[in-house]
Order: sequence, then structure tokens, then C-alpha cells
Amino acid sequence: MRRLYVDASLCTECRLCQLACSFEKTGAFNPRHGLLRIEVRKSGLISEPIVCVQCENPLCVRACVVGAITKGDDGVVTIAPEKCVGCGRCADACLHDVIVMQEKKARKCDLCNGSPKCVAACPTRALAIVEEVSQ
Amino acid sequence: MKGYMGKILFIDLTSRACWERALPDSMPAALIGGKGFGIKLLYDLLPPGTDPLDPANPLIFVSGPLTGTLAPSMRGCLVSKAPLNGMFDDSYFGGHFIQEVKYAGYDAIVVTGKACSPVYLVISDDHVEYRDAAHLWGLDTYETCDSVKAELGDATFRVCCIGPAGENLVKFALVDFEPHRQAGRGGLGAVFGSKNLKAVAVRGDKGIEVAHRESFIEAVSQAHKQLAESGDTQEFAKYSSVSLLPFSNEFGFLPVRNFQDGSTSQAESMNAAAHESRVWMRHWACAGCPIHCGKMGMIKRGPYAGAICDNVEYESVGLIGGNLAVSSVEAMAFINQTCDKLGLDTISTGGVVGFAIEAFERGLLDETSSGGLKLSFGDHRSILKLIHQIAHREGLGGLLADGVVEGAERLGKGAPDFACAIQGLETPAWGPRGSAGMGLAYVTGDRGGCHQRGFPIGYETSGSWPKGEMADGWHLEGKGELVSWEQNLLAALYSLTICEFGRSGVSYDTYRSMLAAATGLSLSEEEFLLVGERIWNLIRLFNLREGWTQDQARVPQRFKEALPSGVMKGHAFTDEDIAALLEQYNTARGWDDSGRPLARTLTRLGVDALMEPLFEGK
Repeated sequence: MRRLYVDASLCTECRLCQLACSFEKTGAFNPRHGLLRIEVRKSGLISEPIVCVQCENPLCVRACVVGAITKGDDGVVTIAPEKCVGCGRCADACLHDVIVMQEKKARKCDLCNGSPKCVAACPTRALAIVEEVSQ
Repeated sequence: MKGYMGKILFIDLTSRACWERALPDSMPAALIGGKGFGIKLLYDLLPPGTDPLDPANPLIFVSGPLTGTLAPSMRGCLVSKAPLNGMFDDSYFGGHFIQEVKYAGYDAIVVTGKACSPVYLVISDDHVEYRDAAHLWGLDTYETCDSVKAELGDATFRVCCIGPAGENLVKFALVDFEPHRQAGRGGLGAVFGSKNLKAVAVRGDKGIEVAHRESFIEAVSQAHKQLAESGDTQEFAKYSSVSLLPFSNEFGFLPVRNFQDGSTSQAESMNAAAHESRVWMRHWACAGCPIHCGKMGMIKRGPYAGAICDNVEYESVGLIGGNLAVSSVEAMAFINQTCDKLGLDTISTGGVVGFAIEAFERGLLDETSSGGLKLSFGDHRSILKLIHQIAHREGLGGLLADGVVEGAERLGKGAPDFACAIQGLETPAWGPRGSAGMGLAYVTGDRGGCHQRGFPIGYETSGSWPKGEMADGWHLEGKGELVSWEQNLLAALYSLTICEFGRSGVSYDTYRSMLAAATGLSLSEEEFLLVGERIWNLIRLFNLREGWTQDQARVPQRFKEALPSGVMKGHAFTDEDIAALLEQYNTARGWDDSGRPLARTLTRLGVDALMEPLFEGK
């Protein structure tokens, strides 16, 4: 199973990941529309990318009242936009606050079919895509 | 037009009115954005002869068409009439603020008037709110930013603000853009203070679209590749701008003890390796920038241990480490941070404090006049006390808070001879001695003697420029053409709001490709330069209108004394040198011998059409 891997010690807070994500998913630039976020702590000493980890027990799936969110065989949790009613419960339930509500639809990271744009855009390899080896 | 948001927001603090205006169709092609939009708005909106601290002086936050996209290393631009020298001022800042201005839907925000009591502005998409700032007045910039964000309950707002220096109208007060970026030069923090404006917070939910998606991504990838392959850029990435220190010290450009010297034996203890091993912990970058010239770290030793701080830029290393002889990396970082928190430009502060220490050593100042301070080079404790005095206009701060030129004039007794400023702007960490071209760039700089409006040092030391060979710093020939060409080029690039460090890698062709793909505005190399020349001429007309004369184009006595050390040892300027350089320059520009653009020059550039007002004050 593929997952995003974060090494926050390499993050520079440049937000190229969020810009690339917003452009891929919305066709326009605004880091706020990217499906990951950056948390800045300790007077700016630390900046940490917060990403969707495609949870084993996705609370967003459980929170959705219309069955719009599913976890696929590949482990990726996706939202069917035609089913989403924009209630925002998934965003409320998200462990990492990385579900974005925009134009009355919920959007979340789907790993860009296995080659995430955020990883490609990161200049310092603070983000990577890793294949999990099953025990 | 894509790339632009198509609107300008106007806010009048006096009447509390705000209104929007569509970006006039003629502006993108004629002026691109950034510096170009800034001078057009200032030219139209400032009533001629207005004092910089008058409510009518507009504060203009302006972006470029590539700002807020994936295009690397774009900054914001703050434009106003400068309190420090009464000239046009465009001060560029990194960080994330101007990107939010675009996401809120604006290419520029213009603030005029004066609030009746301290306020801060909250701009959230098309909603503008005034909030009381009485409880923030007196706080430093870090505290102000944290308080504003806490009050708004949304950490994704981006905040700019002033510290006590701006409130007290110190003429070299800066505007701080969180985190760790500043519009430093010219005293724009005092314009905030004069308006009772403590801070501006902004956030936006709009997306920026580009005209041609595929070619835009292609041009951006090309820019990233050039940055990755440039040795100069990678030096900035690893070691920040302080990587320039060994070069400036070797040649004699470094300010040492109020520019009494141009190099120091202490350079090794102030260089990048020292900062890296003693303070830095990780890289930091502005919005959308892959270079990460910024560094975050912590002071670990000595009296300032525990402070979390960012890196000290080359300019501040020069003006604090060299000019004040504070060679301890920890003390330098703490002084740098103290200036940021109080809201003081480190370049001007280093110039003013260096001047005060020399005046003290010469007996022009004493402990009585300095409010009990015993000043000496290298003594970081008394220097810190003096910096606090300046920000609060207390003690000796009263003499120094209006800049080194005014302070020296008031002090008299020969003090102006060693007041190191050109056109009223304290000289940056590139002493002009050793570079005839740099001297010319300083005396013709549009916002005063600034190193970012032309940097001939690089061409003189390498011996070549894009049009052929270039004589070294001893020689005057070719410098008029070189300086006017680079000023035009930079004015065009600053209309895109580029960062100098991005320019160290990205080619001019790539900048034009990104502009064309984002906006559809396809400019040839010649047309691009012409935009820059147009902007430069309009700014000269503005400065002339506001009282600038070529008499200001001179250097202080200090730079007429021979440079004591370094490769360029012995070089100095004479009045004849300056006159000869100006003659070359005015000829190259199509200006008369008093520096006034000729009618045919203005017609050639289409400047006369630009002087027709597009904007009116309310």
C-alpha cells in the first residue's frame, strides 16, 4: 500500500506542495485549496506538513452519511463528488484536518493515482511516497 | 487578463470608506505590475509636494502577475513616498502576505488617510473590517502578529505590522511581514504610524488562473531547472546571502567601523560557516520558492541564549558585524532580531549607530548627550541600548531617529563628512569605493543610494556584461551605459516582483516565458527592457516633481577618502568623477545635463501618455 511520508525536518514552509496540489485539483493556485497543510510551531522553528495518511480506520468514511467516501483495495480513501452533499461531517471528523470544503463539496487527497504532485513539487524531499511492506 | 486578479482595493482610513476599481486595461502591457503599477498609482494619487507623513500619502501594496503561482521566488512590493528622503520608495518583501492579497482578489491595495485612533485592518476576500489596535500600540512586531492571529482565531491569515519605531515615526522604521521578512528601506513603517495603522491581516479564497496551463508549467520547470543548476543560487540555498561576505571583504566593499575601512580580519568569525555551526538549524523559504535562502535557528550560547531567530542576511552582517564591529554571531543575530522586533531597518540602523559611535570616539558626543551610554565599536550591550533609544526616540535616539543625514546636520562640527548616506539613504553593505559603477548606481538610484537598483560590481569584477567587455572599478568609461541598462532591466524585473536571489539563476528569457504563459502578454527582450525604461523615467519625473535635484547626486566626504584595504585599496571618488559619470549617464538615458528627461525621450517611451491620470483620490 502506498502512503505519503513526511520528514518535517526538511520542510522549508515554501508551500510549493500546496500550490502544485491546488493547481492539479482545481486548475488554479491557492495553497488553501491544496489537500495538505503546513503547521508552524515553536515560534517558527518548526514547520510540519500535515498530510492525509489514508487511515486504516478512516473516520471520514464513518462520518459520511451518504456513503460518498470509500477506502479502495489499494488503500486510498476517495470521495465520490457526485454523491457528496457537502455536509462537512467528514472534515469535522478528520484526524489531521486535511479535508477541504470548497463550493459545498468535500475534497481530499487521493494520491494523484499513485504519483502525487506535492511530492514532485517538494524541493527538499520533505515529502515522499512510500510503499508499505506487509508483514 | 489571466495572472491578474483584475481589481484594486482602496481603503481610506479617515472616512473608513473602501471601494474597488477594475484594473485599467492599459496597465498590464505598459507597466506589467509591481514597481510599474506602484509608481503609476503613486504618481496619480499623491498630491504634489505632500509630506510623506501626511495622511494623503498613499501606502500601496502591490503584486505581480506571477505572484502567488508556482513561478519561483516572487515577492510583494510596498510603495509610498519615503519619510527618510522624500523620494519614491518601492520596498520589496518576501514571505506569504502579498500572495494572500491576490487570493483575496486584488492586484493591489491602496491605503490612504489617517485613523482617529490606532487600528488594524482585516481583509478577508472582499470584506474589510476595522479593529481597534489601542491594546497593540507599543507591542513589538512579533507580539503584534501573534496577538492579531490569536484575536482572529485563524492562523492562516497573513499579517504585516509595525513595531514601536513605526509608531514613533522613526524615519527608517520598517514594515514587518510575518514571518521574518521586511519592507525595510526608506521608513515605510513611519507611514503606517502616521496613519495610526498598526497592522494589516489578509486572507483569501480565490484561485489564480493562468492563460496557458501547459506552457506555464513548462516555463516554471525551466526556471526550477535553472535555479538547481546555478552555482550562485545553490550558494544562497546552502549558506544564505552571507555567502557573499568573503568576496566583499576581499575587495574592500564591506563596511567596517562606519566605513572607515572596507575589510576586516574578523570576517572568518562572521561567515556562513560560523552562523551554520552556531545558530542555524533548518532551511526556510518564502512562498513558492525552492531556493530556501532563509534559515531558522536558535542562539545557544552567551547572554542571548534561548532566542529562536532567523538568519542574519549579508546586508545586516555587513552593517552590524562589520560596521559596528560586533563579530560574535550570537550578538549579531540578537541585534538583528531586536531591530526586526522594534521595527527598524537593519541597514539604516547599522549606518546610524556606526555614525554615532564614531562621533562619540571623536568627542562630538559624550555620555551626557548620549543619555548615559558609553559607545564603542564592538560593544553589543551599549549598541542594543542605543537601538532601543532610537526606536522610542529617547536619549540620543531623538538625534538619530530622523536618519544619519539629518542627525549629522543637527550635530554639525564636521559630522556630515562621515555620515554615510547617498541621496539620504544610509549606504548598504557595499561601500562604493572600489567600484565607479556602484558610485553611479548610488547617486542615480530612484529611491536613493540602494544596491538593488543596479549592481555594477559583479560586471566590473568579472570584466564583462551582456554587451561585451566591462572596465574594472577604477575606470569610468562605459559605466553610464551599464548602469542605465541594468536599472531598466531591474525595473522590468521588479514589475514582476522578482527576488534578487531568484534572478541569480532564472534567465531573463524564462521570466518572459512565464509571463507570456501566465498572462498571454508576450514581450520581446527589447519590449521588456522598454517597460523598465518607461518605469524608470516615470519615477524620475515623480522625484523631480517632489523636489529632487541633481545636487543630491553626490557622495559624502568619507567616500572621497582613499579605501584603506582590500583588492581595490586606494580607490576614492572625486567630485569630477561623479560629474563625469553623471554626464555619461544622462546622455545614455536621453536626459538633459540636470537629469531631466527630454521631451523626445518621454515620447519614445510613451511616458507622456502614462502621465494622464487614471486614478483619483477620493
